[in-house]
This record gives sequence, structure tokens and C-alpha cells, in this order.
Amino acid sequence: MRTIMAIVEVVDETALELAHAARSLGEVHLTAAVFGAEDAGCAELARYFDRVVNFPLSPGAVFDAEHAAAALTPWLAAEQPFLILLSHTNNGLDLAPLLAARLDLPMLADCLELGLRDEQLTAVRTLYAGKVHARVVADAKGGALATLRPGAFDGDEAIDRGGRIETAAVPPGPPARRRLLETVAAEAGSVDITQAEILVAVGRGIEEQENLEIVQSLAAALDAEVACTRPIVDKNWLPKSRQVGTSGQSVSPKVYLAIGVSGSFQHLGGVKGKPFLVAINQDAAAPIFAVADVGVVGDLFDLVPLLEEKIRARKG
Amino acid sequence: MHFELDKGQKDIQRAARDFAKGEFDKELALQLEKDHAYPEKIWKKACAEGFIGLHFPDEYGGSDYGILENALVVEEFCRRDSGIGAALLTAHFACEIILHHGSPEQKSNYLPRVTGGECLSAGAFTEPMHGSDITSMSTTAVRDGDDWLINGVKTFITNAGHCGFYVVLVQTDVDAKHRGESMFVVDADLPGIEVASVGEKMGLKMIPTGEVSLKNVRVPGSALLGIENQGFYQVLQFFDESRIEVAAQAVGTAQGAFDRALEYIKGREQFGIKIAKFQAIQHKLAEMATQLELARLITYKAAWLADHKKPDTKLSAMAKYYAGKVASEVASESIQMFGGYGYITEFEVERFYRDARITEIYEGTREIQKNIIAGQVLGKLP
Amino acid sequence: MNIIVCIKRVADTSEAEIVIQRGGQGLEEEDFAWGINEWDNFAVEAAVQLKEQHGGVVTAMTLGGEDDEEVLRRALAMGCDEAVHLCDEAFAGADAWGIAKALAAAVRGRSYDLLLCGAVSGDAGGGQVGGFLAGLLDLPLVALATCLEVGSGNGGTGGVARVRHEVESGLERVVEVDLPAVVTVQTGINEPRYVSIRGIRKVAGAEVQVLDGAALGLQAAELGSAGARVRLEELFLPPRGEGAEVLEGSDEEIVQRLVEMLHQRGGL
Repeated sequence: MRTIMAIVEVVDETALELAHAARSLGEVHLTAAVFGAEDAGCAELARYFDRVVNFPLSPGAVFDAEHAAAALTPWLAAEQPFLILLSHTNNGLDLAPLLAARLDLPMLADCLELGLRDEQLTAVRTLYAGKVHARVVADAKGGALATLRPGAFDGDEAIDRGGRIETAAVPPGPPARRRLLETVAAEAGSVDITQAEILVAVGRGIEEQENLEIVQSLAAALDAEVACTRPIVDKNWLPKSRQVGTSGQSVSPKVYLAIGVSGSFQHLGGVKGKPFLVAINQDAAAPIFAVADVGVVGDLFDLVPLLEEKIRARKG
Repeated sequence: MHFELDKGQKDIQRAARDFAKGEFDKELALQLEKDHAYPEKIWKKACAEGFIGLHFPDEYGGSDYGILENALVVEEFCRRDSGIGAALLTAHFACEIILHHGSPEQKSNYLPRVTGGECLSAGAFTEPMHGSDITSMSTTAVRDGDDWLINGVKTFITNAGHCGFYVVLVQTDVDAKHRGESMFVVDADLPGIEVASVGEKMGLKMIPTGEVSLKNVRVPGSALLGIENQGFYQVLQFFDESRIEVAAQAVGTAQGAFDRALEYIKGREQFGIKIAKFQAIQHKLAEMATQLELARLITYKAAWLADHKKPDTKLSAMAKYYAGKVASEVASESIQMFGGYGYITEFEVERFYRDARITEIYEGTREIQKNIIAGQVLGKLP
Repeated sequence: MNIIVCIKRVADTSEAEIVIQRGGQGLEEEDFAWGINEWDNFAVEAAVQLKEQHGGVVTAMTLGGEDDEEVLRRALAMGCDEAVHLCDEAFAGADAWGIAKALAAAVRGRSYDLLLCGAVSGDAGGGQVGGFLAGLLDLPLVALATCLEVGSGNGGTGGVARVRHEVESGLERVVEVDLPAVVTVQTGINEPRYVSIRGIRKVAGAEVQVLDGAALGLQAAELGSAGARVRLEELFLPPRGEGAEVLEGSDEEIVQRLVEMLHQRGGL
């Protein structure tokens, strides 16, 4: 039976997605490698994985890609799994390619689908921020590594697999070349968009900082908070605390109104809980329309003020 | 013979494109246009990045490039936005006369202020009674000791009231017609200078255009620009260069309108099909693309000749005449392709059209260009 | 502080219509605007700023065809000191691994404190090259940097950098990393300057060093599509799936309908 190793940063939905993707490849023996998990976490993983290997962390330490790469490289080299799976998260970006290079394995990054054809691993991944999809293939005879886009795969069903839990012995290596100094939250804003029921999210399509006004005004009419995509924060037009996405906040509103938002997976990765998603965008090919419930292709500079007017009229 | 820009020229083209993409914004342009406001911030930034007067020598804040490189920048700027582009290209208007004929003091006093974004410049040639005919001036300069006293009225002056100085064409020998014309650099804040509006313009709404009256404006002898009584010839020489810049403005404006029309027809459907699939549209598009290519070629050739010390009056006039005509026609057809939307300010092409029309008027109307071309072709008739 | 910054020329498809070529192996490129990868532009700016603070030499490096030289010239005009172009017909079809192997070969033997890359590219977007380089060169890696400061360090003889980088849940971590190191740069880390006319003028005569596969000591089997570990089978347009219900009509009608929907389905 083929062995697959899933590298688990934290025990959450992404771990179940890794498990599900692995199981979809046929009969496999599935191991989760996890860092500094508590007993409960290991037990939870054992319901989905055939084996759970816990890499202990020194007290107070957190998952760190440099440390993980150092610990995993000799272990994986010895175990020789058929496939290594990671989530394509920020930590995944920090760890996976490093691991692939050290283990000299082919790597498929940011996969939306994963398949097996003889000794070849196939995947679907995106190009040009989702405008194009590509079916790619890698020869996996000598093993392979793949990172999976969070949310692209279903989570595995809870069948209690009764996985064996063990603790890995990490031999002391050379002193770490990278040392954690501190963890910092995005600078605190006056608002907490994670608690908002209605979010009006604004993206690059707004073009100019001055134009944010129409969005803020619409949000006021809706009693909503304004959220935004990364480029808006990069330009310092809105504070980081309003950024939704894999590098920003995770939100779960009831209504998500995306204005001039193209819909990159990094942004959508922060939109949880399946809100009623409305997209207004000039570009009919924007990936946001593939996931929105309702789409309007048109000029937001006309539509947004009009929408505000109608909403205010309705409220009386 | 080869028809390709060199690497450095392509770098400049890309840099201008990036700058325009980053700084020129449609909504901002519409607002500036509405407010009749000069794009002050963008102009200062353009100066800081070296785009204004890049064809001036290093020592005056330029980068020692040629007229062709300047034309490439002008084209890219106008392509992105005909209004902001025009405002930037006229920021250094008439400075080339100082560059070619000015004293070392005049050059180091005036040119770095323009390239450095301290002030705009202006050329005051046209008079209410003369228009494009500059063979004799009503404005006079009369010696008064070591000074000169200037009197007269200049009209349609770009940057009037918003510039640091004017390059003024005057009559110094009233009996000698064009052989008695001279030029002066006149600081804009001198007593006796007053600026009045010329009225609402069709286009170029971000650029101040006014009537400048000079009443006993006293300037020192050192304000004489070039050689006394050679002003007419100095202006003609200037026009050989500046018309290339206007031609580049026209090419960029035409290209900008064309880009917008092209994008529109590829997306717009009528009767269930993309209008780009209609042959009538395709043929029109083919004509526009061909016109654009020709206008660009003749503009680049005129610039290339000027840069290779072979300035060609006829070719400069041809470039300005033809590119101006193409700009008006292509912008007009672009409006047509947009249909009703083309008539709406939001969709920009009507503004490109209004801004295109000036290229057939200023720095010599198209009729004057034809006179020049015919004169050069015919030579002296017996 | 010697820095090598690895950059890539990519197509900007944001305003282009995507048309896949027959056979599914490529895209129709006429409409594409080409330029430096957005993340790489931030990396170049970061490198130049570090040089301006600490002195040293910044070398820009790219792998690609002749047209790709433009991004090197651009980097020089922004303030990089040297440019290296890995250019060989045999590189065509290289995957991220092949690109990283060639870059690693070109980097070996040079003196540097920092190796900067954009965190991802706007085209393939796998975010792998930086990590591969760290693995191939046995250097520490920090991915997704949002702030980068260096202490000492002169040509690979030690020193440390303080890097703030993105991890999960909107958190960032500040790490100290021994130099030389690989850092991949996230957008927003700085405000990249424009390429100025004076910048272009300064580098008008600059030489770009061109290296082919043989100069890098790479075998034909390691190059381009021959050496690719990940091969493209087919490009296709993303399935629209269920997708959005797209509202049609005049702005007035659309907005009216939208208000109704927000009321009914959004519970407003």
C-alpha cells in the first residue's frame, strides 16, 4: 500500500482536506506529521489518519517552517513516502519548496485537484490569478510533494480510523539559522470586521483612494463594515485590520458585497461560512463571478451610488 | 535602414507608460477637466522623474536625450490621457528657444526651473490681429537706456498667468516687418503684465490659456533672447521642432482613442453578435490602424532627422499636418464606434476628440502647414 | 551588503482577454502587456533601498528569452548595479525547479548576503523558486516578507537580518535570520519607485552579462522542458461551475433587483 504523509501545521479543516485528498488517490496508508500537538489534537487527527506522528516543540514554541524543515527532512528521507502533502498556506509557502528541494522531489504547488495515473501524479492548478487553469503532471516514481489550496478539497468524513499516535524523536541538530523574535497581530483597528454581519469589500477596481468614499457611503447605508483586499492595504488606503484573506482576517458575515474585487484565492480564503456573496466588477472574466451568488458586470462608479440611493430610499 | 527603436528608447517608452499608468487616473482627469485645474501633483512628479525636458542637456536638469525620445514620452502620456498629456508636454513650451539662442545666464536661470518643476514656461507669439501669421508684430519693444519697454497684447497663450516667464515675440524695428522681430524672456511677475481669459475652450481644459497684455513692461537688456531682429527666424526654427512634439501629441491622442474604441467593440454586442465582427466596423478599424501607423512613422522620421542635425521644415510640417488630421479623424471615428456612449464624457473618447482638434490649430493651423509644405515642394516660383 | 535579486518578466493579463491556443499548450499573447512580475518589483526596490542604506552591490538576475532583458534594464534603471541574464534556447519550457536550478548555478560562487525573490509570480504563481533556491544552496529561508532590515554583513561573511513575514490568521512574525539567506518579498513591503528618465540615462551603456547553459555548467537533460519535473498537459478556462447569477438590464433595473435580493436572500 502506498504511504502518504500529510504535514499538519494546526489541527483544523485543512488537515481534513489533506486527508480527503490523500484518500481520493486509492488505498493508502496515511500519516499525519504534526508539530507540538496536544493529546486532544493528536486524538482528533487519529480519527482521520492511520498514524499520527507528533514532533514535540520546546515549551512556548510554535510551528516554524525552518524548524519543521530541519526536523522533517531526515525523517521523510528515511520513511520514503510515496507522496507528501501540505496545505498551500503562508506557512506552506515557507516550508514546502524548501522541503522539496532538500529531499530532491518533484513538487506540485497550489493544487485544486489531485489525481494518480500509473506512477504519475496529476493536478489542476491555476495560472494568472485564476484566469486560466492548467492540468499538470509529475513523475512520482521516486516520490513527490504537493501543496493543496485550502478550501479546494472537501474535508474528510469522520470515520474513526483509530490511528496510532507516536512521538517523533528529533535529534538535536545545528543551532537554528532562523530565530523567532515575536509574533505580531495586524495593527489593531477601531473596528473588528470579523464580527460584522454585512461586509462591503473593496478591491483594486476602485482605482483611486478618493473613490473609497462611495464604498464607505454604501456601507453606512447598509450598516455594514468596509473590508478590503490586499492591494488596498498595500497602498495604505485602508488599515491592515480591514484586510480579508489568507494574509488578513477571516470573516464570516451573512452578506458579502464584493466591489471591484477580482476574487483571488488569497482573498476568498478569508471569506468563511458561505455568506450571500454579491460581486460588482467591470471584468466579466473576474474569478469572483465563479463563486458569487449574484454578479453584476458593470461600472461600479455608476452602480454603487445608485445602489446606495435605492437602499436609503427603501429604508425610508 | 531599420525601423526599430533602440533599447534605451524602448526603456523610455516603457517608463513613460508605467508612469502614466500609475499616475494618470480617469476619474481624476474627469475632475480636473471639470474644474479647469492644472494637474499640479502629476506635473511635479513628472519633473522629479525627469520626464519634463528630457531633451535638454544634463546641466539644465535634462537628460541629454533627443527630440525623438521626447516625442515617445509625449505620445505615451497623451495615449493614456489626452488632457493630462497635453498639460505635461506644454510645461516646457518655448524653452527650446532659450536652449538654442539663450545666453549662458538665460539658460542656467530659466531652464532648470522648468525641468525642476519650479515653474511652467510660456511662449507669447500670437496676437489678436495676426493668428498664425507672425510676419509682423503689433507688440513692440523700444530701447530705454539699457532697458527695453514692451507694449502690446498676446493672445491664446498657453500657461498664461500660471507660468514663471514668457518668451515674447515683438517688433524691435517697426519698419522691417519680419526682419525687425526680436524675442525677449519676460518674467511673469513684472509690473505691467496682465492676464485675461480667452473664454471657454473646446478642449485642453486643464491648461490655462489666456490673453497677456504688456503695458510698459520694463526688461533689462539681458532679457533679449538671441539676436536682435532675428526673432522671426528663431521662431521658425523653434516651430520645426515643436511641431514634431505636437505631432507626437496627436499620435498619442489618436492611439488613446483607438485603444478605447478597440476595447469597446471587442466587448460590445449588438443583435447578438460582437460588433467587432461586423465588416463595416472592421474596415473602419483597418483604416484607423493604418492612419495611425503612417502618422507615427512620419512623426518619428521628422524627429529622427532633427536629432541627426538634419531638421526638415517640410517634414515637420507634414508630420504635424498629417498626425493632427489623423488624431481628429481617429478620435471622431472612435466616438462613432461607441455610438451613444461615445457622446458621454465618462467614456473619454469625446474628450480625446476635443483635445485632438487643437493639434490641427495650434503652432500653425493645418492650412499654414499646407502653405509651408507647398512652399517647400514648389521652391521659389519665378 | 551585496544582494542578488531574482526577477521575472511576466504577462499582465488583467486587461487582456484570455484565449487558449489550439492544443492547449499556450495562450494567445497579442493582447498581453509584459513587464516585471509585481512581487519582483517590490523585491528590486527592497534591494536598492538596502544598498542605499548600507552600500554594496545589487545584482539583478533573470532567466528567459531575449525580450526578457527589459526587466533587467529596468532593474538597473531603478538602481541595481549589475545584471545577469540566463539566456539559452534550451531553457524554454523550464518549470520552477529548472529556473531555480539555473539561478542556483549562477548564484554559486558569487559573494552575497541576501538573495531576494518575489514571493510568487503573477503567471504560474506557485511561489516555489525562492524556497527551491534556499534548498539548493542550503540557506535559511524567510517567505512572504513584509519588512526587511539588516544589521552587518559584507559579502557572505555573516551578519543577520530582521525579517517580518506573514504566517497564518492575519498574524505576522518577526524572525532573525543568519546571512546569507533567501527572503521572498510580499507586495506592500515598500513603495517601488518609478523608473526615471535619469535612471535610464545612467544605465544607457550598462552591460548585461549573458550566461547560457554551458556557462552555468548545466547538462542538456537538466535544462528547459527536458529537465522539467512538472509538465503541462493542457490549459483550459476555469469551469464556470454554478457561478453567479448575473443580473442583466439597465443600471436602474439591476440595482432594483439587487436591493430585492439583498432583502430576501441577504436578510437585510
